[in-house]
Amino acid sequence: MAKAQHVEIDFEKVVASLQGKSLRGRKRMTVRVRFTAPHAVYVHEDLEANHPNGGQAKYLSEPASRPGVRREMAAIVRRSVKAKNGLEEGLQRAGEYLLVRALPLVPVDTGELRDSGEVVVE
Amino acid sequence: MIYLPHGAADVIRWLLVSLGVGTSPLAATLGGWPVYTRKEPGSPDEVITVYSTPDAVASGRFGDTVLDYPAVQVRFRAASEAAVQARMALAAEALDGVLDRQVAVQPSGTLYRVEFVHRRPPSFVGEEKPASRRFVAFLNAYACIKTE
Repeated sequence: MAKAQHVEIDFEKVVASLQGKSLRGRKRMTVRVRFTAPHAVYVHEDLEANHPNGGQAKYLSEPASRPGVRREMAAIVRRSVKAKNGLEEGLQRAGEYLLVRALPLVPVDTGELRDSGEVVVE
Repeated sequence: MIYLPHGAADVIRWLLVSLGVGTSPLAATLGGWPVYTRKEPGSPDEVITVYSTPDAVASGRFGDTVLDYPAVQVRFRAASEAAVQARMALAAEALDGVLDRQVAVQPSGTLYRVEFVHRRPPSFVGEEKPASRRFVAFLNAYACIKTE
């Protein structure tokens, strides 16, 4: 019902994604948790930076790789599908679950990076 | 979480040296691309630094053998973007070819076996920030590392 969570860090944005499928496997959708600020990738990757206001590098990939977070995201999708709330809603809630855990780790300077965090189901 | 006696960054550092991608920072005269861990030095311009990152895949113990799948980041820095690109490409090709390779971590000579390195796409190549005349590139990977 939910599988293949992974984090992609490309040249433009930081994205964690989780695929899900409906009970009969007819419908497949993906939720993406992403940070789209222009400096999102650099801040995510720069392990040398000091963050005097708190936060850290790997602010998305670190929570996304925690086994407990991965299990809970899959469980949220599973529960939503079983309760007939739909795959899309389950994925949306799973994405929000991850975003809430990532936001406290996002370094804050102007707040632009933190505010660029979003959940998209496609 | 079970940790290797040496950190994964140390093992990957000496793997890169043994593959000819970088040079030992312990050498009497620094040349080429010295490979550091944990903290990137201010000089020389051309350096490689390996970090352990907190997004490890898994680890476990099988009898006396510790198996670790740590995540690492290899950071390249140079005075020109072309040099950074070329060194990262060299490292990527070398890491892709690793299969069951023995690595000695210096100066102790402790032996490890790197089963494979799973490299992720390069995530950034560009100017160092805060702004400087140098360029950096980041390469993320996880590796399967065993104690010998």
